[in-house]
Amino acid sequence: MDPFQNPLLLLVPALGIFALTLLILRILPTIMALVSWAASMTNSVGLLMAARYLARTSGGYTAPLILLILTLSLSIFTASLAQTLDRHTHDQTHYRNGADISLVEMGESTAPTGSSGSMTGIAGTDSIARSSTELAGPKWRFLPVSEHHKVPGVQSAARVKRTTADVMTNGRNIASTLIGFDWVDFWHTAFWRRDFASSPLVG
Amino acid sequence: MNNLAQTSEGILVSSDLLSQGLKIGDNLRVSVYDTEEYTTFDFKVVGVFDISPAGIPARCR
Repeated sequence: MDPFQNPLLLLVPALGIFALTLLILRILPTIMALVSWAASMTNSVGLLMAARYLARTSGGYTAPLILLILTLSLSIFTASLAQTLDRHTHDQTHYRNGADISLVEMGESTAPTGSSGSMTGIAGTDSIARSSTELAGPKWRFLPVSEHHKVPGVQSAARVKRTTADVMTNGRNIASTLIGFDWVDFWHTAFWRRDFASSPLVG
Repeated sequence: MNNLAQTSEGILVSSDLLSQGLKIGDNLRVSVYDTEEYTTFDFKVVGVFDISPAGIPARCR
């Protein structure tokens, strides 16, 4: 959301506030007349005098009242807009990163040094054969997530793998994105808002 | 997330994917092409989300 792309986002509330101010100025004498009528039923002379004065001489306080209402309304609107923009920027950044900080780690291949194919992704005959024999063990090694907890200020960390995938459902292949994570670390590390799903992340 | 913890082969799917005829409890076969080969995983749908963190919103795709 960029209010400068669409000036109406700023202009419409400001014009609305101005229109409401003029409307209030129109009906204020009537309201004051009602107040003075109600005050006449009581023994409050001060209130009655003030209400009658305001009901009869509305032109005397129009300018300062407009300034007062506009100043207060526009400051509330600006503060509200600033808070909305702050929250939008926070949510947008966290949504893009998934958490406060996103790191890309390079793993260490377990393939024998000097062999070709595994690091570059060239699918030669020998690399396919080697891959099939190595399926039993890990092909890449990464630092344990606990290493990140040793960094000062880090409260939690989670490892996430994001890759493209084909989902086979009802005899069709659907291109999708597969995100793999360890749920133990993920739920208290990832950015999550209640409107991401109909049920909470952790019940 | 609780369902994920209870099901080792559990998967959360987007509401967009769920509307393709899937339902909670269905088995789902997923092929992943990573580094140099295709790997196929069998999952069980345990939940649904509308928007994933660090992902593309299902409704914007």
